[in-house]
Amino acid sequence: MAIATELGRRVELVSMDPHFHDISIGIYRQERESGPGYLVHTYSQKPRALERIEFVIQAMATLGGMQQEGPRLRFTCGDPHQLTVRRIFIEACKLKPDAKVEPRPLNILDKKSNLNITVFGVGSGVYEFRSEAGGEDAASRVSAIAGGLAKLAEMTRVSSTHEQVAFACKHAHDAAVGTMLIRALNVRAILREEEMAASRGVLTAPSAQK
Amino acid sequence: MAEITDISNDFIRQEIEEYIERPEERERNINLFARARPKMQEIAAALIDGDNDTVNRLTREALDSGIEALEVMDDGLIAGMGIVGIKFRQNFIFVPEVLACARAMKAGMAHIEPILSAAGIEPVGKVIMGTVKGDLHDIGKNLCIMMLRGSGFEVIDLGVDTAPDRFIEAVEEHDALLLGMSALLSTTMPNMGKTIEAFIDADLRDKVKIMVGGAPVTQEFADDMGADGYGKDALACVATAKKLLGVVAKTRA
Amino acid sequence: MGTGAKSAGQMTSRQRVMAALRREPVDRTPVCNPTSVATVELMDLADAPFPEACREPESMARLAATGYTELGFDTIMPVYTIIQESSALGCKIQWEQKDNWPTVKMREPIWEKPEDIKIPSNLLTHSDTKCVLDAIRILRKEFGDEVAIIGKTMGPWSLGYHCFGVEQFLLMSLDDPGKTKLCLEKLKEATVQFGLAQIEAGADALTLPDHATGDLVSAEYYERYLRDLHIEFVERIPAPLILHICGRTVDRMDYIAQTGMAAFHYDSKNEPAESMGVVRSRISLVGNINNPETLFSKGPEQVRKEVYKNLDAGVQLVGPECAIPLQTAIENLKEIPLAVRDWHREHATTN
Repeated sequence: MAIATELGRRVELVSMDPHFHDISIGIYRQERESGPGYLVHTYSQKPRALERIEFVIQAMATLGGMQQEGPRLRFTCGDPHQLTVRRIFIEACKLKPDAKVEPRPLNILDKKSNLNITVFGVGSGVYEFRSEAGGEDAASRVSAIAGGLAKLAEMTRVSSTHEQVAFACKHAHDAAVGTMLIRALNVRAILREEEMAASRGVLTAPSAQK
Repeated sequence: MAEITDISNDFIRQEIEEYIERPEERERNINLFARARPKMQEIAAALIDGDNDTVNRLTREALDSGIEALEVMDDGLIAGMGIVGIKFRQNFIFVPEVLACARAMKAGMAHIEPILSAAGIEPVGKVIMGTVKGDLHDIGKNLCIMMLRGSGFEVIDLGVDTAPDRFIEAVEEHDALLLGMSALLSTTMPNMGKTIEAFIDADLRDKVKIMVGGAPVTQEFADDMGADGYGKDALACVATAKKLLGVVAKTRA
Repeated sequence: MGTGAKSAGQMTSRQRVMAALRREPVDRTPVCNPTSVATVELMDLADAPFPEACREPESMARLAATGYTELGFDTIMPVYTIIQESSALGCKIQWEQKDNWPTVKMREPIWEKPEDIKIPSNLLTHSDTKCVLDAIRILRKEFGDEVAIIGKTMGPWSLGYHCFGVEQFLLMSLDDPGKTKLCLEKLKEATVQFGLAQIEAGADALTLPDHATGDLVSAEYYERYLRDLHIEFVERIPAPLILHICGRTVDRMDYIAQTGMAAFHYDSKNEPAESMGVVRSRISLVGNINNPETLFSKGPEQVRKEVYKNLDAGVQLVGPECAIPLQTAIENLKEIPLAVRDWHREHATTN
């Protein structure tokens, strides 16, 4: 009889957990009446594999600000935030079993611009990015990082601003934002879009045109 | 603007007429070969024909006659490879023929590289190149490396099946500003993303530009992985490398 | 489905597969994997990780069986890799780890010219080829006649890549066709020996990968170098042969259909209807669900669409286009037999 059960739709897989005998750990999205939830699962039957799974679940609860319900996790806002969950899962699996897990701060040093970037929750799921420096270059970089987070976390830019992005659920997710901030510094697609937007309507010499 | 009849070499004229369909590519190649010396056109023709012995001989003769190494490289070898790339893209020729042309280019470059090195010409940039972990294909990567070296880049070739840590070590060891990753298998493409992630984790992402390429790779995939650039073939690889390093194309005096 | 189709559930998986390979009536289209459907999660489930599952017969058999017991395929194919016989010929192998494929170190080729080729007397007793034979015996004993067991023997073109290096072999094919043909003549004996041994061990059919793909070489190359050899394999190996060539191949399918092989395992770069139009019932088609974009990256809905596209075109056996990425999700693989079942139900009620 088949052992593989219906677990939902797999969202992400860590194919070899370096901290526990190279087991494969998957995270599955399950649709429930109370809203979407996520199950962390391994097919491994190795002794203490379930303890490792439990660690990952708890780490995700901390890093993502998620609510743990037995083997499942969800955001209390009820929205799936699937890309965010995927990222939090990957980060949680990177942690050693004896690691102390704490929420990550809402500020970071951006080496590209040498700016300290701080993120403020301003309510209704809106987050504002600020740097200590002023000027066009700083503003441009802050805008790019905000855009990077928006792409990573399925947020939208708040219209008429360059430094505010918002969750559609209109709820705060500070822990998740803190966890994803480092990735937001290097989201190439956002930079490409901004380069293209900046060049629209600008006359270029024939040799510089594609 | 030059006409095709301005090209003195019959073989080159036929190649352009028969195999180059896109108007902008035809125009570019006509202009390029029309202004190239007959001797350079001969070298290009021999390269397109995969005749490494003739390329070897003609390159040597051209250099001995006093023609600048850069001119021989640009107007003979690289110009010839340009047509090879177009024919390959359009499935007029396949990998065996491309390999033969690459072999011919290598024969020519064997005479040119020492001259460029001795002249103390600064490389336009330093590039680390490798095929990603789990992938043992390197034909495309090797073509890119040849074109990059031909365009003045210093290239450190990590070979195939390159783990993320190895890419990181090489970037640090050689102080390279550019990394190129190749994947020929769709199943190994995700390792590009893993490598980029490893650079982020090692706090090195901002120190290096990363470009990707290979048959299954697309611009969309490159963007999703967080790469800085994508090249769909060896010629595009060189253009991408130059763009990422902000290199202005060298012109001969 | 053709006339004379049987009612659903009348045939065993094995009967279904063997009939489809002969283009005879079936109760439903079989789900077939001429290439690996191993995944890291199935490795955990069976406690049979790579590389051990490629080198140790019980492990190999245990993992392979999950294709039938867990995924619901009609075949079991235990030869995950393409390197078993190359290892026996003396190639250096990089065995890798659980989530990576073992590969031949083609940058360290073992031969340069036809005279170097030697098929060793221990080809079939080398640990890596013997592992395959033992695994087939284990599976035959465990499953009897219930399910079709498919072995795999590499064709001479692919062996040429492994033993000479890809670039060197391709350059040889251009520089010296006579020499290349001589290499293929010598290498083909490994193909035949290993194939016969697997049939003797209990395999019902054999996958025969021979990578003269359109991504590398022209259709004319296939005709010049391989078609006649493939005809010879059909004559010498008394079991259905499933030729596998990756990439664009519709331009050479007419030649392939001339070989007499039972089936051609074809890639998603070729359209099902167009491919069926070229082969015109001279050979069964197996395939062609896309691996990187569909099975690996998308969900069951897209898998279902591709299954349906193949069935609508009349493809005789449905399955992934090639060895699946090791990180493929189980639900995507399980969707294949579910989609086949549903397609047949829908078409039964509309008849």
